[in-house]
Amino acid sequence: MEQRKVLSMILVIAMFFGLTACSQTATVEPSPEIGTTPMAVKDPIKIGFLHIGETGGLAIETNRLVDYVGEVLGVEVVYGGALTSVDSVITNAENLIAAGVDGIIVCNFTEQSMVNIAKMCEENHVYFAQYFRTLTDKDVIAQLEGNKYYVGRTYESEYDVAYKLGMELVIAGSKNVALLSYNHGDTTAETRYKGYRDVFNENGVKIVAEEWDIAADGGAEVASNLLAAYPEIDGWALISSSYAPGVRVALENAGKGKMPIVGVDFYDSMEEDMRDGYLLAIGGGHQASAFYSFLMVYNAINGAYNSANFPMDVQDNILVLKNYEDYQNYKKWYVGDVLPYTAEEIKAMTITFNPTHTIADIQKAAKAISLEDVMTRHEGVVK
Amino acid sequence: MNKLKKGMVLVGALVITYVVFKILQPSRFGSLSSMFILLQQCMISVIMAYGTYFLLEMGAFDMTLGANAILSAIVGCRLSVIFGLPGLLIGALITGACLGLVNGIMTSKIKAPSMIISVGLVIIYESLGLVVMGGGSTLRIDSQFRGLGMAPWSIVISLMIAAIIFFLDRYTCFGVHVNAIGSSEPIARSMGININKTKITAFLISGVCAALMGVVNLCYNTTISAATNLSSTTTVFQPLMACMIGLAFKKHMNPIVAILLGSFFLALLQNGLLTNGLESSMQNIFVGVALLVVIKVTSNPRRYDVIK
Repeated sequence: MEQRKVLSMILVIAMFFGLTACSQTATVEPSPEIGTTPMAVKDPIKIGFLHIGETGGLAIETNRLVDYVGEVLGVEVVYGGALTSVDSVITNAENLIAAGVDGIIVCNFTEQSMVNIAKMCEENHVYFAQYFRTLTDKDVIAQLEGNKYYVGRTYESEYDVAYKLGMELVIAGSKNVALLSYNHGDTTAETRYKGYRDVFNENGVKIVAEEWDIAADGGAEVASNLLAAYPEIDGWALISSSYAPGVRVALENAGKGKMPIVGVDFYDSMEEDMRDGYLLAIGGGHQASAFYSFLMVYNAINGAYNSANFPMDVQDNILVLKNYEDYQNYKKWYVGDVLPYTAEEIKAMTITFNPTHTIADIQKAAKAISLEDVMTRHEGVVK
Repeated sequence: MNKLKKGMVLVGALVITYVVFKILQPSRFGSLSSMFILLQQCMISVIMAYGTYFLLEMGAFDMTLGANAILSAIVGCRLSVIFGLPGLLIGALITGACLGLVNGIMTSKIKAPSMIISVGLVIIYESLGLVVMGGGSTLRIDSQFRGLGMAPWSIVISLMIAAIIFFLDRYTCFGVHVNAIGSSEPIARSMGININKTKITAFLISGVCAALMGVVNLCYNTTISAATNLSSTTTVFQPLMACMIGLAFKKHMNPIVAILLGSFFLALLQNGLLTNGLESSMQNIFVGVALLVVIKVTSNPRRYDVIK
């Protein structure tokens, strides 16, 4: 009985502090100067992050950048579970909302899942934005139209990057290309496929074999089988470059020597593959996509935008590295000690530190981002 | 005669599969080089298949084998940097043995189906793999060890494992006990067979085989990544199917040979479907159907009645 009383007291005290803590709003004097003191911060802000995973170069760098922006802005980043299936995205979003987040950034599996997420967010007054993705399905667009909590999306021109990479294969003289991809139906994969297909059609290059639904670690096995069945293959176009190490292994095992490989999304061992001349060109480094969406949601929570303008579009660049020197620069300037944006640059893109902020600040930064852009901005900062 | 006929079903399935795909794609399918590639691939997965043999024989499942293979390979890869080949092999095998032992003890102590216990353990092993990776997403094995993943070494290792499993199955008390438990666990217990000890030993063997498969696979692929969200479980399916084929043909031919043929049959089928341009998802449908047909033709319907 005594124990119950003590427990009840503890719970009452905990509830009291919980309630009073929730009602607090830290208010600080506004400052017109960028990057010094926030105007008025609703404290603490929690932004849910439906991340793409914990492994893989893109996932690791995306998580690192989001953690960093959270740290700079004093936002609690709540990881909501990795992207594994259509259902998992929706369930993870539900869990984040239940955890009391103020906003969510999401990389959706399919566009249809955004309908459920949008409904949940609207009901619970949670702002949300997509990253790495946009909407193309007319039905989905219609259903999300007018949602006051759908802040916007950051996406890349997947078509353009695949087209550029395909052109590198054309220039390298490939005539019979094999194409490897992950699952059919994924908007990103399909758009990249169109980019490759168009550039190959325009330049008389044949896709002699294409294989879809390949597991991330299945590149070696599939490439080995394709090499045996299609000896005429003289180039590899990868929808996801995670297959590149496997293709290299298959080439080495089959004694085929070096063959040009291009692919999208950076991976860990790409340094060796570029240095050794297996990887002709690679597109990626678009980890800032989640970063921009994070800023959009953060600003929306702080009342920066008119919901009548939702959803807002931010299109960012995918880097294309064409040689080992490009890779060295990427390593030094993009993912080294200093990330693509410094704390001051991040603050300048938020309403809390920059009262004149508009979405154009983020749109401009996203459109301009490139290796050269970062090298110019951070000259003297990166050693 | 009937025994011989049923035993020939697997060989017949192999031949028919080869002939059908050869007719469909005469220039692309079935060259000597492509068959050699397939042999190398199936020799890797068959190591795990042999590991699961004793478990399946007793009606136990171990879904952690994929996570075990990955974690063991990661540990071996890390140790190979310091200790070279001994670090790679011993590090991986000890890790695999420990994980197998843990699985066995957990399955014996927690009176719940092994499938459920192993799913819980997969999550732990996958997370451990991430921890041992130390933040990076990929580990690359030194090129001096690559030979271990390719012919003739991968074939030698697989055949060695086959010989050991054959010996354990045919000539040891352990093999007899496994068969007895597989036939009827209550009767085996009443005969005085130590069920827990036999099961733990079987899990230990499967753990070691998974680790060895992880090492050979690492040397073949040269890189390894930690798995997350139960993705390692997909590694188990192909060896599991090969082992099921082996068990289905046990009464008609040597199961160790049947597992090898089964593994090659699955690889041949997938390669044929790929050569004909079928996507992975469609390939899996065909492989699943083929597996069901082969097992239906030969199996004792009571074998898979109870999955403990």
